[in-house]
Amino acid sequence: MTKLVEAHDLYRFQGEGQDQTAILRGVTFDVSEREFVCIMGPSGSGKSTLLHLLSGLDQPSAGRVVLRGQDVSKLSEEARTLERRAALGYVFQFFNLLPNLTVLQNVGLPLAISGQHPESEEARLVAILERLGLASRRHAFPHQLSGGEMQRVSIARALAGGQPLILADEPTGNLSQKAGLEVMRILRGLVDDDGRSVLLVTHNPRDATFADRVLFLVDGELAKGRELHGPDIHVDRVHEALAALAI
Amino acid sequence: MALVSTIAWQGIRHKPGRALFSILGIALGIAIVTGVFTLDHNTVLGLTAKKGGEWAPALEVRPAASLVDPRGDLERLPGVADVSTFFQNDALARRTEETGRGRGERVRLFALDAESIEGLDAVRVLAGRSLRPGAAEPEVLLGEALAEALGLAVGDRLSLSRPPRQPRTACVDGEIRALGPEGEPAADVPVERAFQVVGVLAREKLGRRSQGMVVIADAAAARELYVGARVDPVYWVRQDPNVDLERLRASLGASFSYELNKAVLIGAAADERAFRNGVRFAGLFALVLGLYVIFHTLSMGLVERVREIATLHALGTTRAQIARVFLAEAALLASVAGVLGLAGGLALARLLLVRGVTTLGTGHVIRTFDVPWPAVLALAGLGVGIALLGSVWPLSKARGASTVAALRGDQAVKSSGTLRGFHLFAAILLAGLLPAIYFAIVPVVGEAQKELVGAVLAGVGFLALLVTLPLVVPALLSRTCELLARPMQALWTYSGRMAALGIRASPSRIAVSAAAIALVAAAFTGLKGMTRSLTGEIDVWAQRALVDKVYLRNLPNIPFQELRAALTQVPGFVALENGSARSWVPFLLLGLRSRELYAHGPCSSDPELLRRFDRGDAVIVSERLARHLGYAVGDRVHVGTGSGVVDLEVIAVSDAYGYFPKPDERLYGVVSDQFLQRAFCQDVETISECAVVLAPGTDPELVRAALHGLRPEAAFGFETGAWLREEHLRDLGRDFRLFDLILGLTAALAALGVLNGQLLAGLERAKELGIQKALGVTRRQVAGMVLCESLVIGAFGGLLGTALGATLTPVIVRSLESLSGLELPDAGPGPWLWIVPAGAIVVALGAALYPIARMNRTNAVSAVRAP
Ligand SMILES: Nc1ncnc2c1ncn2[C@@H]1O[C@H](COP(=O)(O)OP(=O)(O)OP(=O)(O)O)[C@@H](O)[C@H]1O
Ligand SMILES: [Mg+2]
Repeated sequence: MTKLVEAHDLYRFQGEGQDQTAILRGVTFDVSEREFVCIMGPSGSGKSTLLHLLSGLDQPSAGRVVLRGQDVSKLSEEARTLERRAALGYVFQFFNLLPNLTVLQNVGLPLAISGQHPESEEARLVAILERLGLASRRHAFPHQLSGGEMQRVSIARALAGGQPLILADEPTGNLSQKAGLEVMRILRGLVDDDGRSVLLVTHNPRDATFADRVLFLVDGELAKGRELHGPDIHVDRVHEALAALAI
Repeated sequence: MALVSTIAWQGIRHKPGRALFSILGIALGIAIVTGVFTLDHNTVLGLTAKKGGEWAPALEVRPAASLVDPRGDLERLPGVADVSTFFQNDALARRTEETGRGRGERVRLFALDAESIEGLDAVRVLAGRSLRPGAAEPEVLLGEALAEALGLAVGDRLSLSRPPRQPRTACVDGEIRALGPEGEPAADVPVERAFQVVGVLAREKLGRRSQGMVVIADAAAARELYVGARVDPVYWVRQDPNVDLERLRASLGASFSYELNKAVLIGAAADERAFRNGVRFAGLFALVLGLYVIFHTLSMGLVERVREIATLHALGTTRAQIARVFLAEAALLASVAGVLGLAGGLALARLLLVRGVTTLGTGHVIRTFDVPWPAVLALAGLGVGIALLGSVWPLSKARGASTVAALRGDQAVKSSGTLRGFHLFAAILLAGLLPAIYFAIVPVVGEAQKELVGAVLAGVGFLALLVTLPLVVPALLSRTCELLARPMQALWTYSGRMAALGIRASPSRIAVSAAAIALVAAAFTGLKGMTRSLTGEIDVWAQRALVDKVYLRNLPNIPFQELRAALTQVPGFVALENGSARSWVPFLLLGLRSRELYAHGPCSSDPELLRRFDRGDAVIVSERLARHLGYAVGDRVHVGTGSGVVDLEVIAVSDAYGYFPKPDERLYGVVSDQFLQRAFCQDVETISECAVVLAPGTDPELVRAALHGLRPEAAFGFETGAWLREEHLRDLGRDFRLFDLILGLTAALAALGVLNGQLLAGLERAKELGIQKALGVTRRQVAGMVLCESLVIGAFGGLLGTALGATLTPVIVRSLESLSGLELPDAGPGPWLWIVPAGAIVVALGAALYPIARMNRTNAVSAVRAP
């Protein structure tokens, strides 16, 4: 199966001299086409940092990121940006909506960025919002939304671009049980129905059960031999793994 | 205190761009205004020092014989600040104790009214005191050299007498004659009188005359020394600078002849006043614009500020602490800017003076440099003070804003009308308070006439209009800008779309930037329209006065008839105007031969005019003389001659006859040369300088050839009228370079405004930008966004400003016309109608470069990281 994104022995240091700390220490893994990978780990273990590196937003201190067969570090800034635009839909941990745009405009933003006319795709965008239960709020501004609503808008935005890989950083953190479940079904549907791939970061064991593969990141390293493989990962096995790693 | 320094300092450190550009804006405004004022101050000082050889009062006036109380009449004239009787004569001086021994020192005696000496500012007393009016014993002031020569000090006594007299001469009916004795004492025994020395004069003003060998005495006492001698009544007059010189000259003209002291009256002529007032207004304009840019910056940071204050407040900081924090920051920035601006302004003035640029045109290099500290400090203080007031505003607003709303997001604060209030406040400060204080510190030059006040008010109103623009029309503006942005959306989908969104989201920011550009564009258009009118005026005048003439100078005194005979051989020769016969009466009076008038100008179509001119008691005055001194056909002009005051009748107003380039004087009259001969004993038969009038299209070189034929060895000056016309136009261009420079600097200020606006908007939206970058927006798209916005600002501001400027130009030209006494045609803005908006767009696009570079440095990771 073709690999969409590969991480080769990634290191990421923060700070200088005495204060330097390693956030990531030799992380190696990949996500293939039509694959749903989940990463779990304690707070501060470097999950968000890893996603930033994979998306090319941030540069590793050592190691390589290969995105759709291209070494990201060898690309110019311009090319990297274009590659990210084409390859990834990103659900940020903090919603990062543009305050001056309406919900619909925020969701249509990836289309606008790549030079398309969101108006012409309005029906599709509204359908996405519909699935996330936001169709009625499409003309609201971010500051008029609740935290959960903002989170769902940022998910909708990641889906709107239609990219082959979705990076989702705790997409259900602010959501109710029911809404969270709906989001997970949507993500699973992307893999099963649309043939896209998902890389999910989460603290929620239930979310992990939707994945094909679950990895555990502890202190900047992937816990060896602890991966869970699907299909049909039972929630108890997730709990066991977390307990074993003292997460 | 720790809180104050930490937060205020961190504020500056973390927003170095904002701090830097705020400082730059205030500093540039202050630099221009103080620079302009210092330049004007030194221009007048420097040129006065250059022209002034001997000290003399502003005017020396001779009354017509018919006046009963000339002194009283003079005192009542508007524009006369002080009057003194005056005469001067030679005298012999010696110590009173030495009477009878030797003849004494020959000195110059100046007789003035004791009570007016101070008012005239004619002396500086080094020791002792000035003359006391009505002193029992006659008193004198001595020049320092004389006091030393005679060993006299204050308190000593001095005897003065009249020296043996040479016969006096005067021109009477064309002959120099000795004046008769007129009842002098039979035996010429000079009267000798003793005077008390009450003061010794410093070697300046009158004390410097005759190498300091001077005596100043009260006119009444001094008159007794010259009993029997004829002393013409003369008065010294100090002009009131608040009354225009033309008004004084016009009212004097009715019954006095006078001599103007050009050195004292530098910059006081109508056109000079108009120019200097224009420069002063440009200074105000720059200050307003500079502060406007700053207020803009402040208003940009306002939302952020209010949130910052709200957060601090939420954390338990007291209002007083918060006030101290922001005042400290503002005071630091404003005073750094004040100092920088002041230093920059003085440096600018110095540089311009050394380069020969003055507020009275270019070409006079002035080396002395005097700083008018009180006014300059007041101006810098004004700038700093207004900037501080602007910084305090957010504080008063933060008090009212709800902390929760502020913490929740931008929109809540923006919609609360905070910005609107701020713009209103700024408009009142900048278009009301600032000009009022400015004109108190830097009053207009000359009388506050109706026209001048009107022009100033129109200018201030215009400033107010543009300053309030963002207040009045944000909706209209955003609509217009959207229209302008539409074609860009089609061209650059994403950039155009985001620019349009940005414009819609903050119409008042765009309005402020556009208004700054519009202000400068309007000023440029107005200035260019005005210079085109002035150029047009020169063109019209040159057409009438000199284009068809050739000027010859330094001729080897050729007899009139001989020269004329040679010139008649030149095909196309029309007339010969003699430039050698001239007199100052006090305007330039030229004597022309009557028959040289009949072939061109108004006399060519009016034989009656020529006949009256030939009669000898008629004068044809130049257009400008007529305008400035209010002469019309039929008026009488009083001319003081050797044998008394003579009346000439104005028979025509025309520039066709008698203009000469040296001295370049457009205020003159032309009389029959026979009159000049009779009244001033002028030689009118030989020519050393002349103008040759030619039929249009004649080759001027033919005149040169004819002259060479006549006097093959002679070297003479040769200038064509067409060349002189070009010279005048070049001079005008040079004179207006100062305005170009000031407006160029204000254009930099406007660019700074645009830059500031975009930079701050960029910083304010750093997070949005970061997100967009994370989502795949390229550098080029970011640049496109900012450039699109700039294009809209430049196009909108440029077009609006040019339209306003073009509309205002006729008004400016009309008021300049009445202010300067020039007759100005309406030339319109011409090609500037296109150049100015194009320039505005270029300036706006240029201003975008730095914000683009800065925005492309925003970090996508830190943007998406923070909640
Ligand atoms: N810019 C930075 N400067 C200093 N430390 C940083 C920076 N970015 C991240 N870190 C540190 O790196 C570590 C990993 O951060 P990261 O955001 O990747 O954690 P995370 O696994 O996503 O945690 P959470 O589950 O709470 O979101 C943290 O300890 C954080 O403090
Ligand atoms: Mg995280």
